[in-house]
Amino acid sequence: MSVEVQVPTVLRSHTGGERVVHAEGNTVAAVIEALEHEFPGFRTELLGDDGNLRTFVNLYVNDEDIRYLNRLDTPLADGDRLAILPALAGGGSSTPGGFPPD
Amino acid sequence: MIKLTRPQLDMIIAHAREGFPHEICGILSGQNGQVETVHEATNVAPNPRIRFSMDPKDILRITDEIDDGGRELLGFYHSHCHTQAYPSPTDVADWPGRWYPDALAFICSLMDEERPLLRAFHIAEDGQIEEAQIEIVEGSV
Ligand SMILES: [Zn+2]
Repeated sequence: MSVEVQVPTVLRSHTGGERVVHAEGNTVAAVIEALEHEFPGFRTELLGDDGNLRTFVNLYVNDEDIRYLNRLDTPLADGDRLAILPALAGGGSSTPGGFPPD
Repeated sequence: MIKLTRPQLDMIIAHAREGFPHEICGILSGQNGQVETVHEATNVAPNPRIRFSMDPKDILRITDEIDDGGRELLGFYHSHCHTQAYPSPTDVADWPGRWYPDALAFICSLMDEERPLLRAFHIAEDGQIEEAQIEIVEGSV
């Protein structure tokens, strides 16, 4: 049971420069633990003190955002791809027309 | 302080105007505080008039490009269609400062149609905002 993990440029210092690593685990959370075991310090780059995914971190399983799947409990199968990317999001607070920010 | 050429500034403003009334976004890369490349990205936010969310495919492609070229990611830019060139609470809450402690948040405001304004800010991990001076220098795009 192995998944392919795509490492973002900023975290490649943890993986010795590797942009793709392989890890074992049948959920996203289990793979993060496996990565932490292999590359100490990796977990806190992804998860906050509350154990939740940091707001600016996006994880995709085969191109699907895990926030729309089962979040950290999203199941993984052999050969799945897990991509780690920074999220770049935000926006102006509101318009004079009065669209409320959501 | 961050250095930007006039054509680069014009390119960001043109991108913002083309996207209006939607917000647009992109990435700036270069070295030694001098921007060398303006990387336009796609805004995939479901409500692009008041939000931006950079297409993850663009993030992957552009960050790899910058890394492969041995350049630094100097900043992320986006536009504000109707509000000032200052980080909104959402911009601050979502800012990836932990991963990019030196990157600046560039905001191009189109609030005054005739006079678009680009400003740059450092947003600390604790949310503190500090303006960075943009110096316009001679050069090409
Ligand atoms: Zn904004």
